Amino acid sequence: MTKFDVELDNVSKRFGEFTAVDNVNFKINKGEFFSLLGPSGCGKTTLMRMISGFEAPSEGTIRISGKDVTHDRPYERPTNLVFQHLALFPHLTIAENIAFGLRLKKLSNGEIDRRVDEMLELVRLPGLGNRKISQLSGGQKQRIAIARALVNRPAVLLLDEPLAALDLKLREQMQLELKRIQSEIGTTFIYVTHDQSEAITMSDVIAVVNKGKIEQMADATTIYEKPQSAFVANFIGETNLLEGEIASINGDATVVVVEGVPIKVKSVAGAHVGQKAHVSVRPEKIIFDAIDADSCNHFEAVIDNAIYMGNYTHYQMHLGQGLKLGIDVQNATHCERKSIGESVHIAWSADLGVLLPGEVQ
Amino acid sequence: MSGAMPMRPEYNSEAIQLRKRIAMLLSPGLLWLLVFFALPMFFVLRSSFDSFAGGVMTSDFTLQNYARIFTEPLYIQVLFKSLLTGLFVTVSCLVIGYPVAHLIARSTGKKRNLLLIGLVIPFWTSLVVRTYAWKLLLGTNGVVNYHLMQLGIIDTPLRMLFTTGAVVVGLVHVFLPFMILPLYASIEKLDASLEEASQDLGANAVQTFFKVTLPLTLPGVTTGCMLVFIMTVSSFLTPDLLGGAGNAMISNIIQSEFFGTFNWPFGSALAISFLLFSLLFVAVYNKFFNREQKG
Amino acid sequence: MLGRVTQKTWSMLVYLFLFAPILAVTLMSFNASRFSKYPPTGYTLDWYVDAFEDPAIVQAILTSAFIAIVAASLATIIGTLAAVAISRYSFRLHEFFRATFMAPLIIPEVVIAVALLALSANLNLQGGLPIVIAGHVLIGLPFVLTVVSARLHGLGVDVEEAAMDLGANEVQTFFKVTLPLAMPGVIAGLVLAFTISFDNFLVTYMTAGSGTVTIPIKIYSMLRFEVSPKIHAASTIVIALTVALMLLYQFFSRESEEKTH
Repeated sequence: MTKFDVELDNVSKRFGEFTAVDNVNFKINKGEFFSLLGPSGCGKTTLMRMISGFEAPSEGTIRISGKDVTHDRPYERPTNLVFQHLALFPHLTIAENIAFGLRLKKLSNGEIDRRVDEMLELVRLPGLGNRKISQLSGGQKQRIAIARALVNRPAVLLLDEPLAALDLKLREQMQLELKRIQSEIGTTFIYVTHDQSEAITMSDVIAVVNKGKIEQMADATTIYEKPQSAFVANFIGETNLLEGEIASINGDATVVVVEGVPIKVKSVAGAHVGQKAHVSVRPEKIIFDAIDADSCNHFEAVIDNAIYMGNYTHYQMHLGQGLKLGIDVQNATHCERKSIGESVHIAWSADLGVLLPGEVQ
Repeated sequence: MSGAMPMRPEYNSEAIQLRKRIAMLLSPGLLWLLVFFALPMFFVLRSSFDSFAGGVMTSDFTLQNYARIFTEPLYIQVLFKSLLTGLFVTVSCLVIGYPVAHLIARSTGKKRNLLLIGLVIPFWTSLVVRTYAWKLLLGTNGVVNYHLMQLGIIDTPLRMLFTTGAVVVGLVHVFLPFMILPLYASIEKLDASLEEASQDLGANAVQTFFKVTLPLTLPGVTTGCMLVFIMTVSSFLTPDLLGGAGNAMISNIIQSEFFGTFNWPFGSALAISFLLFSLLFVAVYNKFFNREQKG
Repeated sequence: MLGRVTQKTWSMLVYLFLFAPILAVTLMSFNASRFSKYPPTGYTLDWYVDAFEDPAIVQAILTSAFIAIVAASLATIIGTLAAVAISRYSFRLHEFFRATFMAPLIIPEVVIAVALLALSANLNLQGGLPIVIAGHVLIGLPFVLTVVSARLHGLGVDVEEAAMDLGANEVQTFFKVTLPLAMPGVIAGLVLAFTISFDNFLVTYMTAGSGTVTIPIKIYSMLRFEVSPKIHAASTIVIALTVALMLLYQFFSRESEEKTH
């Protein structure tokens, strides 16, 4: 037996001229919470539909638990799907919805009742089995959709942006709930979302998808702190994406000149002097300070705008030559709010920026 | 290795299965249309080239039936009259029906349901009954004449039955719901705040209607107009019951060829011509108006 | 538009215009005057008694009901299958097939009648039930297709995909999910097709021959040959039947709407 639940080998999907998924490879470990994260139209939904069997790949192989399922019908695969709009059967009760898959497997009534009750316990809605779907709230429907899929004990549970329709508070609550359910039963989850904070909160591994390709696949910390492409840096969280040219590489220290300003950043393999490159610096990594060390970037800047955000303040500023930067500062104390037009010293350690050689396509 | 690769066998059989399923779903309907419309139309077409003399039909492939349609003035006159009636009835239905459709679309809840049911009941009430009922209303001793005399508007009863006017009233009555329902569907989809925005920006009610409401509900207008026009032009019962000798329309003429003179070949030629005319009309209409709707 | 009051008054007049004939027939069916004099001077139920005692009228209603049941059932089965294909799959000539099924709606009824007449002549049939039913199915098809397609469209493919994902194959999905959910639409289509067949005049008139008399044909011939107020009574019965059916249809299409939301 393989230790992977899902394996994609060179999978592509074309719709006419349009390539929705372009030669994608990945393997998902058993029991992992895996997220496919990307903007709408990036191909993440097509990937998910190929894994669940609603689309056949144009090329490539999909294996689930080691078995080639590339051309199996949806009902022949050990996968279950939580639909974006849930797709609960309006003509059936809650218990009948959950029992749908089990009845098709011709399990005994006793076994079905037992497993339905067990699922209702798991999603914390015990005793609601006889209600109609229309009697449920949005969050409850969500739980039933998850129960209806999980009761079949799939090798992989796919979730297609199931929380998108919920309001913020309920969504955050359901994120924790999903994480709890997943750790209780240990099933592999593939979670499709365009919401980066959702992916960061829940996932063991995130695959960032853009234009049909996987841009980066790693855990949340790596994706956020060490993005491998300008797209990833920009898509996940806020960042200052500074475009310039590599002026020098000296061991661990690279200097990129951006609009005439030399920016120090940690070297990466494969970069060379004269190459176009981006430096990504998260706004919270920059501080108001006048440290002047070799390993630090230090500038004088003028505040253009200060936006109060509650727990932090966002400052927009420009350097002498006109380079614009954004900085987030925690509102830890009452004091020290800068005002517009004020001159300030800012600094960030060179290794907090990320060097991304090459142009953005 | 990508382009030239043959389709996988599994993949191929999926496509074949799908095609089989679609064919299975469509075939009963297609078979029905084939056996009970396409094939019979072929018989009609064949017989339209037969000749008919002294009550005897001969298969001699002649075009004289079609020649007769275009040379004998009666048929062109009937066609012209039917089209004119169709046009008049369509415009009447549109003008009469639009305010009603608008009122229904802008009411809510129970009231809207009631108004809709009130429209649907006459819509589906037996055509024969609804049509002959106009005889009770328009007859010399009928309801309308009685009230007109009561009110002192006239002294002697008006002769209203068996006139073009009676036919038009009957047709408007029969087809009005076919106009109002698509109009209603179209107006209902139109966001009421657009009309409010127009008025807020300084357009009066009339300007709002012509600059906002009407252009945005054009799909309903074109659908309604086409339905009413086509149905009016092919109507049989209303001219038959309410019209006089001069009020026969295309369907009445065709029916009488089959059951009056028994000249089936000529009746067939008329039917074929009428079918082609209708299809051509719908095709041209769709070409013009569907493009406009999509744009 | 217009001014609220003008619009309301106008609409009331239009509704009066729409209902006037129905009201007139109903009123005359209770009118004691043998010559349907207006305004009535007295009221009676005699004409209903007459109508029910006339075996030809009763037989015509039964014949109509029989034809309508058979034709509506066939149209509903055929139309529902076609609606599933047309609203669920994309295939070559999709638009062509859709237009073909909708064609009986725009083809003049007299042409359909002539076609069926030619068919029965070529088969040496004297018209009669089978041909009339065939014609009524033809006319009912586009209505069933429209109503069922709208319902399927409103359902979305999500629930069907969910069923397949949970282990149901295509056939199981159709019978366990698609059909039960489309049912209100299917029943609404059935009621529509029934009403259309029950009220049909021209196709029946031209193809039925002398042996098959439906109620619209019976009323039409009574108008010509037998002037009696029992026509009004028979007509009022027909109106009442249609109204009942339409209310039934409204009920199912409402049900249909509610279940999608």
